[in-house]
Amino acid sequence: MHASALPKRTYLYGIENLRALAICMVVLTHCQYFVLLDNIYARFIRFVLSDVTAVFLFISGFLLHHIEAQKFNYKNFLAKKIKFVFLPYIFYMIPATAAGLFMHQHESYQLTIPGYIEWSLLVGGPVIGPLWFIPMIMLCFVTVPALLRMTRMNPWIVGIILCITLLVSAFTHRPYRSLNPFTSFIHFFSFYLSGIYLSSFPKIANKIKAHALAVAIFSLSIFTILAIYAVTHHLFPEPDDGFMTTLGDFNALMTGKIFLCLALYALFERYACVHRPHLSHIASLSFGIFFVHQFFLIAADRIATQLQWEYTSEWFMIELFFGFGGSLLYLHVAKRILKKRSKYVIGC
Amino acid sequence: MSLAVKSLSLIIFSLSYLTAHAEEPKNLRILVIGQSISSNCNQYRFPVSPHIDQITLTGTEVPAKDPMIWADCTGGSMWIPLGQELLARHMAERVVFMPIGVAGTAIRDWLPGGRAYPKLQTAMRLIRDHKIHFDFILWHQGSSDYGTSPLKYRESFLSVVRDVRKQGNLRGSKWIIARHSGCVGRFDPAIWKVQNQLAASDNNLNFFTGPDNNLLGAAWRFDGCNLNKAGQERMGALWADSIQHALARNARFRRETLLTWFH
Repeated sequence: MHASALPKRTYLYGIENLRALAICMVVLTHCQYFVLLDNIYARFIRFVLSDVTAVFLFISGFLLHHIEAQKFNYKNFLAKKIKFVFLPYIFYMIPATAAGLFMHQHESYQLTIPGYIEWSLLVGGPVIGPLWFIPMIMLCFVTVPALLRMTRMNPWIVGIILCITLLVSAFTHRPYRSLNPFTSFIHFFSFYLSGIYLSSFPKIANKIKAHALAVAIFSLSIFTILAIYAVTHHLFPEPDDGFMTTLGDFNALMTGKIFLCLALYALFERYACVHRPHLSHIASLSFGIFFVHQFFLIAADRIATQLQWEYTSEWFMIELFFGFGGSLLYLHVAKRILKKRSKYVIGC
Repeated sequence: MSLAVKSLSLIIFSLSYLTAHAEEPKNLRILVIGQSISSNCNQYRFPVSPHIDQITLTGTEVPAKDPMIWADCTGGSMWIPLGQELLARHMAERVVFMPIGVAGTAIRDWLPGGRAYPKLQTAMRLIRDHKIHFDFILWHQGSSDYGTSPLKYRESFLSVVRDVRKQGNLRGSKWIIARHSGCVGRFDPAIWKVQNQLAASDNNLNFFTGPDNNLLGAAWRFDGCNLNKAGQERMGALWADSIQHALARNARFRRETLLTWFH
């Protein structure tokens, strides 16, 4: 088919704005304030914010199909991901791993120095928590040819496969500290597939958009019921019992995220699918913010500890300022210095 | 569905677990930090028991008996019973203790300027100089912190941990945190809660949940606080449960996070 005959790709402002919201939620979820503020309201807020990485996976899957499906070249695709995902990952893993060695973490993990470096690279390392995401998403990239082939199947069959993967997500939990890309992949894969599914079958996506309000009300109701149940029955926050120990146990948090993701998709695609410069800017930096925000939050936490600050709402404002503001400032400066090379280093 | 999923996944993942197994140490070395109940302030003095040793003031190892050399008071401890439990459960072939508790200490006493801090420094110096490795550090403290702010207790505890790791070069040791926030008739629920939270914040690698001393009533104590012989034996068994639990959790953690794939 000639390129000019291919349907023109529309710019997905709804998805872009959703990405901006998602990265804000990711930064919020890593703020110590909500972790240490141990009351029912803080736990409810944490339920909303936790595992919002799933929304990123959904967006990633959606954009993958939207951008790549028409003329997919696996070699070029992997080369791009190695350049713009894996290389920034290595760039951030160097100081993170060095910090871990400086803090003698390899002794805590009973590893030699080379063993600690190799292990950290495989699992994303224990120093900067969010980096677990990258080894897992690389596994998703490996599956892309099969997933794109699958989208040419009957939507009902793909829908059944999707439902199975959603059930897997609903009945599994994260591995210990997310330090296993393979079980993380199993746990989160359904969101990646969901994004691909909705992009592949526009009739279904359009139905959701057409009934966005009803879909959102329904989904948010289920989400709220799950949130209230989990928080009031002390099912959340969950103990870190790993993937294997909790295999088959109902995961209220993840099930809630499925419905939250659906509600956000419906609402943003219907009501927020216009260009918003500030959100667009944050979305364009989202990958970079994802990589770097935890460095700033850790710095803020260290300063608070040294100054013996109590975790008050003023402290939360400072965390936000450091985590979000620090990340944005760093990324702007880095982009100015690195110019065209910035995507290879900082991811944006 | 739950059982079917569990069974299928166990078959699929069994390969990765073939090379891993719970590591059962031959010699277990245990450092103890805390206040009176962790020291020799309990009622009964246990005699020497085979394969249970303690570290002396010069770093050598001798058969352990109450009162333990480094710890406060002149009565008995719970450590011989713990050693006996660990041996009976085949969790070790030999157990070596070094309890350095000081009676009546609040957590601030284990920080710089505190009355237990010089002892901590001396012990850490000896440990570092003799390159002594401890598998576990048992923390049994809290009743003297009745009314202490939980956040303050948390920060102080983490500060003690940092100090011990740095000064004693004990970064690979696992901490087991007992719940102990008072004596019979007066417990601080906030301190008990923060002790639970500290263990629960990890519970796989560095910090683990220890026994709940608060649950032992007057029948287990001889002076309303410190333990009688039955109480010492009971706490020994509870500590053994905690150590067993910690070893199992740590082994599972190491397998699942692929640590067993690396050296």
